Amino acid sequence: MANVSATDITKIFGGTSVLNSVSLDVRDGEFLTLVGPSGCGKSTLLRIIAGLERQNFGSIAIDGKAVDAVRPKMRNVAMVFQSYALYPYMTAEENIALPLVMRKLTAWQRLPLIGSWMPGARARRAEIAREVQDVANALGLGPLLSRKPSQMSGGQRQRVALGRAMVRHPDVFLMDEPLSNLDAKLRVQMREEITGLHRRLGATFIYVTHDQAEAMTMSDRVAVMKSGDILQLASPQQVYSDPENIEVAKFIGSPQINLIPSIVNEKAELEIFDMKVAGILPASIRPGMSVTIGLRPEALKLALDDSSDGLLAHVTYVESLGSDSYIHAKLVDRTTAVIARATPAEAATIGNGTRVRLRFSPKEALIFSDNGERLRSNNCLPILRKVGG
Amino acid sequence: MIAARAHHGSAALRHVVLIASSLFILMPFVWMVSLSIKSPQEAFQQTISLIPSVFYGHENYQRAFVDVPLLRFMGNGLLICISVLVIQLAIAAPSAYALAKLEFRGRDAIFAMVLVGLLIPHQVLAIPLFILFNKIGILNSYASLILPGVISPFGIFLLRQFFKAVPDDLIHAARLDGLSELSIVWRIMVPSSMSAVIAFSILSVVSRWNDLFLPLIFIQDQQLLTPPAGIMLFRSEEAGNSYGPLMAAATLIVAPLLIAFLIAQRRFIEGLTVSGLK
Repeated sequence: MANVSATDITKIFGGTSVLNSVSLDVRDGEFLTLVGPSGCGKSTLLRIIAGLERQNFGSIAIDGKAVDAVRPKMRNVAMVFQSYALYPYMTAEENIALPLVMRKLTAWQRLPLIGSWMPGARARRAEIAREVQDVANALGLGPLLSRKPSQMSGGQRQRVALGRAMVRHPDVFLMDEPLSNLDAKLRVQMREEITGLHRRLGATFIYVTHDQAEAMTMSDRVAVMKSGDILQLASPQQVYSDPENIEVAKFIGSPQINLIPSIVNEKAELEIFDMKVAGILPASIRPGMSVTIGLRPEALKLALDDSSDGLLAHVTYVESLGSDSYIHAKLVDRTTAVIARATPAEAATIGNGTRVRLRFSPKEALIFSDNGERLRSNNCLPILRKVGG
Repeated sequence: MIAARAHHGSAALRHVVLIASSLFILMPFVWMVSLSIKSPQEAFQQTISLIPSVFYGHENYQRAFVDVPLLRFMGNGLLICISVLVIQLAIAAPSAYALAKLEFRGRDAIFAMVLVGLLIPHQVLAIPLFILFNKIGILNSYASLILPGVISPFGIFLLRQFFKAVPDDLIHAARLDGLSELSIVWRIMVPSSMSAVIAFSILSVVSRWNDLFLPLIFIQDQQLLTPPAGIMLFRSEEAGNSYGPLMAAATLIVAPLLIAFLIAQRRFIEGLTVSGLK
């Protein structure tokens, strides 16, 4: 078991920097997810931890020891790839066995034909076969062992790839978007299996994904990345409810957070179109500043137009998901689009063009400055800030 | 309807052209087999006929083995073809891997040199090689037939094109699984590119087996001759009239190649067409 730490990692590809002095500490036995849009550097960081790519600056340490000069195979990390990277001409059994064959057999014992006549080779081969069998049983791969990757479904290949990673009991599992080639149903099932595996093995998992649902459901902590920087590293709940900046707020959460422009008036109130909200502004804000208010869809409550409280909006589309409905609406400027979550019962009373009022509790409003930084007031969000911190 | 007829018309034309050109290429082979079963008298008749009036094949094929040590020549040919192929692959596969997947300074320049190597006809090198082999004393030996072919720019080029298509993730996985770079070449790259390896092997064996140039220049000892050089002996013995045995011997030395090609035909075509696409 091992903790992994990356210190000031910088990676430059052909003049452009893809990682800007990134630092990250992964605790022993933790499930940490690197999440971000494509091109944010998350896969590069994972490959640098594995030793498959060299960083330009900075250092990687596994279990407290710097491994920058250590070859990938000596780092005791295993990796699962998006493409599974199974050896196409080998059976599932041979694929899973290869890491052990390379480690437990000598070069002579590995030779084709004559290798099995070398002293000790048979006993070791039998030992390897037993370990492969154990892993296959744990993953439910027993009947598939003699098949080649081309004869297996995506989910089965994924399991073989997991088996190949598990078989040599690495300290650290690195997973590079392992579920993104699977269909939606299987993806949900495999999410569960991978988190189950993490609990059973107790190893450190570093998981890369662009899918925020995977990040939110599987991880102990999430590192949100963008353009080569880690924007926030916190528990899934915290990055959702207490984002450090507007990029994190926008990336995490589906449907996306509603962002509404607003201006601070001379009474230190927020003016959001025809609505005024007092008492939630941090002291540092001066009148005349423009800020952006972030409101999650579930923070917006529907009310009928006859009340004067809340933001006036025109419904443009009602999206029903069965258990919930999402109300798409435009605010009075006719350009700012917002989405509110409603129960099916509430949604049934409205249709396209209905005028509604959207109310929210000031406590749930996230305030961002023009440059995207989160503005926190001292007297609000005291409860949320405790979570996971 | 008209379109369909036009389509049939172009298909027919295509077949006519293909059949005509394949007949043109096949004719010498058919003529060779025909001559190999004709009597000497019939071989020199003015009229053209493919089927002999008297079957003389038995005598011709017997003389092919008796007059010259044809089996010895074929053994020599086999030894040289296999040695050359094994060394060619041992050099070309790691080189191709380095050129396709490793990053190092000067890689593109080296690859450009491989391409230039493709353009140099091996006849150009004959005289420098003759002088070199004479100096190190390996003229008139198996080594003088093997060494000139062991580095194949074409092999390096073909394998590099195939290796480029192997996903990087496969190599990354192999590195994490504990494979050394050379193990990656032999355990990952070569098995993943088997079509190319087979196509290259056939081309290499065919050109080495059929080569008349190197044995004529480097070999004096009859015991070391390869099949094409060996059957030249028929010509020099009794001027002109042993065409039957000559053709019989020629048929015999072409046969192994034809059989090998027919067995590996599909992989061979795969190997060359895929490289054309990528």
